[in-house]
Amino acid sequence: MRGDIDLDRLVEQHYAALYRFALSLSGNETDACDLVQETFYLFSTKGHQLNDPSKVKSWLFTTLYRLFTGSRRRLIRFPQHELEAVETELPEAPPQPPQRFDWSLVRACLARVDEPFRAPVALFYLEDYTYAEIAGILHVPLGTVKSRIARGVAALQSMMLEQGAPAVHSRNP
Amino acid sequence: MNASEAKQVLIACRPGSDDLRSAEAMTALALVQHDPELRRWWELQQAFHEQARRSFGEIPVPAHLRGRIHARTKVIPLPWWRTRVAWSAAAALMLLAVVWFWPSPSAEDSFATFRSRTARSVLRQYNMDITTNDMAQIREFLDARQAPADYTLPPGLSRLPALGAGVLGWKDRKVAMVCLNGGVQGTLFLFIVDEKSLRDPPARREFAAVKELNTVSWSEQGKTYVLASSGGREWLEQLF
Repeated sequence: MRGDIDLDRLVEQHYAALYRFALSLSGNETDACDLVQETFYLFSTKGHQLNDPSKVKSWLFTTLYRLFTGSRRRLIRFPQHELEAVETELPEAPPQPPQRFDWSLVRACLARVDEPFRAPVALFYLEDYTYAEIAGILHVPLGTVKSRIARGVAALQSMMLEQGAPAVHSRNP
Repeated sequence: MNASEAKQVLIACRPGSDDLRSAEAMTALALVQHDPELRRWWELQQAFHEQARRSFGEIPVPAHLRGRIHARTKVIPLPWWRTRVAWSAAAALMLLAVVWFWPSPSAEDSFATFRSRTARSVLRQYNMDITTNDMAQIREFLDARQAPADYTLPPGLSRLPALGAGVLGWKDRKVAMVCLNGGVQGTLFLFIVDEKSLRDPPARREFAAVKELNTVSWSEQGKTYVLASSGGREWLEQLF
């Protein structure tokens, strides 16, 4: 299939989004650059195995995610957290968005979110992926994706509140 | 569904997206309409999602990344069967390359031309003839093809893992191309040629940019070296 795809164009279209995803996962610019570079290198050598050109983007994100998890050499499986488990961890109110969030604050807080929740949260915000697409990229069930997003967003908000982002507590008028 | 359960559903729903089309999300939204406190929470939640989405999209991307990706993906090792099939064609192409690559004997044999053409060749699509991490194997391969094989690597380069090698032609001489893994700096391309094949080989170490690559060149023990990389000059200096 590689013959049908202009690699330069593919890089142009996706390298920025892949870098942002990689940085969200690793929290480190150097590691993020390595992950993106290696992802495109793998595509240049193995991309011809793809049969469906419409799946190239998902393939890139999936490959980058696998490279990241592989590099961590995690020996334990991530426990799956069902939606019910989220309840006690929801912050009472989300952080009050200022004129705009500072990425450095989001990044610092995201880095403290447990690793299994970082990828779904990053894909949730970075790309207009559906739950099903995120599930496909991360190779986890749909229900797990939803619960990890909910739990990850809740954790991110809690971290941001801890870091001093102001919260607005709703009051009845 | 109560307000607490509605929050757990809606916290994972982006405003204006298909996330809100599921049955449970619609049930939660119905509850929002009748619960002022929940409505306020949902308004803040939507604002948070919008700001977070914008924040992720504004993550700055390093300017050098694109060049690094291109430098890495230009090196595509061929599977053995393709190499074997292409072998006879490669010989013909080599002859063609010699004619095309260095057509004129006058100004064309300057070191600046050599450096420019070798570095630019990296930016085009090409293949390594051998892919291995074993430098001894690379030397053996180059020697078998009458390319410079008894080269000396600076300390910093000798510590880097090899990726493979190829052979190019320069006038009537062979040019060895050794590829090294520079880690975060990407692939390094070291070209080695007989010093006598150049009219004006560099007398001392020279740094020069060729398009988006940085190069450093030097001559030593009858050979001229050109090292090309997408890494910066400071990093190249540390390799010596």
